[in-house]
Amino acid sequence: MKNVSAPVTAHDTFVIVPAFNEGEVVVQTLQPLIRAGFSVVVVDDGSADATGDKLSALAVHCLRHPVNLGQGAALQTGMDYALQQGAKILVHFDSDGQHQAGDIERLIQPILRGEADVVLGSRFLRPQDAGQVPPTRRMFLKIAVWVNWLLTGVRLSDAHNGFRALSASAASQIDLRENGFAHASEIVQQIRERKLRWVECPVTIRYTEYTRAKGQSWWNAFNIVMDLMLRRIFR
Amino acid sequence: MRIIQFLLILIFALTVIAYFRRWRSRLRDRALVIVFALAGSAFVLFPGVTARLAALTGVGRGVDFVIYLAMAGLAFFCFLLYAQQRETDRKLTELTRVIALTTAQERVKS
Repeated sequence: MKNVSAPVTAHDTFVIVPAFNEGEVVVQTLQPLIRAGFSVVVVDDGSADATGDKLSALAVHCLRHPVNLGQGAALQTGMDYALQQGAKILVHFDSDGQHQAGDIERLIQPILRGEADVVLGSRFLRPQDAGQVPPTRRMFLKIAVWVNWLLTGVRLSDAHNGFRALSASAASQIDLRENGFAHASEIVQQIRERKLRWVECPVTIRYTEYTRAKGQSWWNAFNIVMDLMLRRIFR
Repeated sequence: MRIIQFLLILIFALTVIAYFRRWRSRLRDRALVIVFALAGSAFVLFPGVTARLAALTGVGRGVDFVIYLAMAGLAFFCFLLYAQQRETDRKLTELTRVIALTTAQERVKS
């Protein structure tokens, strides 16, 4: 008799990595994912640097936006593609090297066990992860947690943590309209609206000079809130 | 007719023509544009009307009344443009996504 729920292999787990001008670090980020046997989907979001060339030597699924749209749009494209390819689990992973490939196994466990549809990474569940966060960034994130709570009605321990895992059925119900960084709040909103079961899972975010230089600023935060409010007016 | 009256009416007329030719839009938008242009022209031809309306609404001078109306009108058109821009963004996203999906390449380990 055929097993109805065939075991999920690493190959069925599609790790979606949006990359915009990450030529410096993208290979380093992708190698551990490829070694672990995951199906890696890189969405080059119209990079103007050598990101595209660096990908040519890697065993990955390679997609390219001809123009730059933003991280949210790149993730949605990656999810559409992964679902077409028959992905069973989808993971959102940053290309700048701040997420750890080793965390994925733990992140997807709640979905494998059938306890959750979506798992959201959080850097504030374990003291050793929270300790990694620079003090100014920590303050910024605490405020963002409150703003997100107000805007989405869901209270998480972390905000704008791009490390997430979704079951295929959950991913097919998510439709990111926010092309920019506001997608991180939008996805929480949709999780609530679609009544998806979610849990948080501790992850380690590695802060380097590189990620800090590329990180989000206060000005970005203002833009995100504006995007979310305008979205309410113009559906 | 004073020169300024002629100029302003000309501008209103050109706005309407430009609007219709460049942004094909819904009836509602068009109706609003016509109302704005007609009201504007009427105010230009009969300046006394604005003074009376201003007195009625407690604004003061007729010119102020027109300026306030114009500001509201401008704000409306800004929103209209913004809505159109979001629509254009959405289409661009869809198009880009289709291109990315149809040109996707899978590289296997060599």
